[in-house]
Formats: sequence, structure tokens, C-alpha cells
Amino acid sequence: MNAPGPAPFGALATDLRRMHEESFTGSLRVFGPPDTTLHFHHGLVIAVPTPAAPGPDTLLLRTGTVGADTWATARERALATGDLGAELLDRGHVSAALLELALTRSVLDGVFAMGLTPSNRGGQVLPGALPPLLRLDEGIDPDQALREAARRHTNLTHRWGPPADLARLRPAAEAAPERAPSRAHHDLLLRADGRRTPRDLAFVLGREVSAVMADLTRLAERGLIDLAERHHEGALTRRLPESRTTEEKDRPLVRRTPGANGMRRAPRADATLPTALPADLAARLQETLRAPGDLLEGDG
Amino acid sequence: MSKVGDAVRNILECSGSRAVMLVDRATGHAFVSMGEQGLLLPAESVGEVYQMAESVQLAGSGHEVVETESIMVTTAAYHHVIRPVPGGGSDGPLLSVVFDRGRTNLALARRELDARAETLLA
Repeated sequence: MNAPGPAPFGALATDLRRMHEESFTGSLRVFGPPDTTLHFHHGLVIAVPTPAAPGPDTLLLRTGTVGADTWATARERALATGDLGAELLDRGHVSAALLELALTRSVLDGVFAMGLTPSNRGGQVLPGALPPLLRLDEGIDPDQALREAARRHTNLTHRWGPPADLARLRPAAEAAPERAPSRAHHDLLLRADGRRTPRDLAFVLGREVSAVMADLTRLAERGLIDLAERHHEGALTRRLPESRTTEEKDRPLVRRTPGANGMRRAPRADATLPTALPADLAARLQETLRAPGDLLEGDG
Repeated sequence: MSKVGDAVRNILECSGSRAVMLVDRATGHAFVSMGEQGLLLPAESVGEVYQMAESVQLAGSGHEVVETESIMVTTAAYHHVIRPVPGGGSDGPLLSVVFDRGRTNLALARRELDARAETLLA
């Protein structure tokens, strides 16, 4: 059982198999970036929370399967019981089959996403670590999860190229969403704006990263989406100076007058206001400034 | 048996059904498969066939997206039916069911399958 695991997981597979054989309960934190935590119960994987792929909460909430308010209430209760899935099921917010599908998808996608960053190195074993609030009741054999993740990597490689490269791209729609053959593709075209990575699209749509990437390659094959790499000079957008108009170019530079920007004192209350107002109006305004009770009067 | 497995077993109990598989359309992952495995289409092919049908449907309907209800492939011995599972959202799973042609009235089998599929994720 010490044979290397399927690419791109390699040595990690050996560790996961050993945990399965030892009927391990707890968690394994695989260092990234990003860090990924695999939660085990009796040697089976029950949850894989990672920033690299949407969790079951995103899959259920973003698709509207469970409402945000309902979720918040159930989660609050689950903080006491430790089992959000049971809370959602007991109150009929989601069916058992639908919840299990979302959890299964999340686990498989989390393992898939680990393979997108081959820089994953080392890890930390935490025996008896608390499981997340939302997890599978019956976990998945880690070897089965790795094989499925590797199959998805292989499929993407055959269809397009290295999945790790695809994950870094920011797809842009080349056609109107109405030309998409299905609702899922329509939603993808609608949001592929050249700024979002497949991971961003997965979080926005509440879908698995692996599913989004597979659909992106299908849309690219049909010429509905552009997967070409876009080169950015840096993380921040550089704002270029606007070109000046001919009139601006011809205008001479403003000459600075010495002392013109100095601090100016406020006029005294009894000072004659330098104004171009008519004489009678200026006199009335001057009178107003000298009205009894006016704070200015004491200064005079 | 998982909850999804329980739900899929209910589909296998359709009269004339020989094998059932629940497939993720986009990734081609088989969540569950039951019955005579050798009769089932490869899981990856189920998703591809469904998407090909959607594209053909789009081209043949003046580029208006109309939901594909089901796809049927009939051989001398079997009816293969592929259909989305209601309530799974825009990225819901697909059901692939193989019926024994000699023991099945296709119209009745489809009606029974539709009724059972309605409750699969409900």
C-alpha cells in the first residue's frame, strides 16, 4: 500500500491511506498555500474545508437551496449542538439526499483543489480535532476521493491542458449568455467577465471549482468563452495620465506669485469690507456684523 | 446505505429497471450506481451525451433554451433513459436508467420514472 498516489497527489496519498488503515479520527492540515484541512472519522474523509474551493455552505446558499436567514438561525443553534446538518434536516430546511450530495461534492472538490497547488508541502496531524459543523455522516474512503480528483485532473488535462494553469486564468465570455446550451452554462457566461478566476466563478455561482473548470473548457471548445491568458503588469491597475487637449497644450504654465499662497488673516470686525457690492448694501452688511451680541463686537 | 443510495434504490424498483446511476453532469462523477453495472453507460459519457443533446436542442429551437426533459437510446434489448433530477438546481445531477425492453412499456416506464425522480432529492 506504499505505492505513490495518483498524480498530482503523489506522496500525500500515502499519508491518507495510512490514516484510513489506522481508522484515524481527527484532522490533517496540509500546508499550502492555501492550507487545506481534511477531517477524518474512523479513517473516512468527512469534510475538506479549504479557501481554494466552495464549502457545502456556499453550495447550498448560493444556489438558493437554503435561504440565508434560515441558515443563520440553524447555524446559531448548531453552535450549541455541533451539528449543523442535523439542525437543517430536523427543521426540514433541506432534504437528506440533497444535503449529502452537497457535502459529497464539497469533499471531492476540496481534494481536487489541493491538486491545483502542487506547492502543498508537509502537514500537521491533529488527532481528536473537532469536526466542522457541517460534515458527512458516512465519510468517503480517501483513496476513492484521490482517484476521483485525479480523474478530474486527467480529464481537464486532455480537454485543455494543465488544470493548475487553467485555474489561474480569468475567462471572458465571447458570446451572449443566451447562446449557452443550458442554464448552468448561461450563468457561467453571464459572470465570466475576464476578471474572475474559475475559483471566483465557483464561489459566485455556488458550484464546484472542478465543475466550473470542466464547463469552461466545454464553452471554450464551442467558441463561447475565451480562455486566453491575460497579462497584467501588476496586482494593482496602473492609471495612465489622460491625454491633454490641444487647447491645454497651448496654454502657458501658470506663473506662481511669491506669497500668493501664504496664510491670510481674517478681516477685523470693524474693517471695511473690500467688496464690489453697491454702497448701501455694503453699509447694511457692515451694520449686521456689528449687531449687539455679536461675538465680533468684543474684538473691536 | 447513504441517503442518496436509499433514494436511488427507489428508482431501481421501477418496473423493468435493470440498472441505475446518479451522475454529476459537469464532472462525470457517479455518485451512486446500482443494478447490473455492465449495462450502464460510462458515467462520463452520460454527462457528455446529455450536453450534446442540449446543444442539438438549442440549434433546433431557434437558439431558445428549452429544458431537455430526457434522452432515450433504444437498442434491441434495452431502453437507456437519461434525465435530470428535479430540484437539483441548474447544476443538478442526472439519472441514467436502463430498462429491459422485453419487459417494459416505455411510456409507462417513463411515467413511473418521472414520478419517482420527483421525490429523489425532495
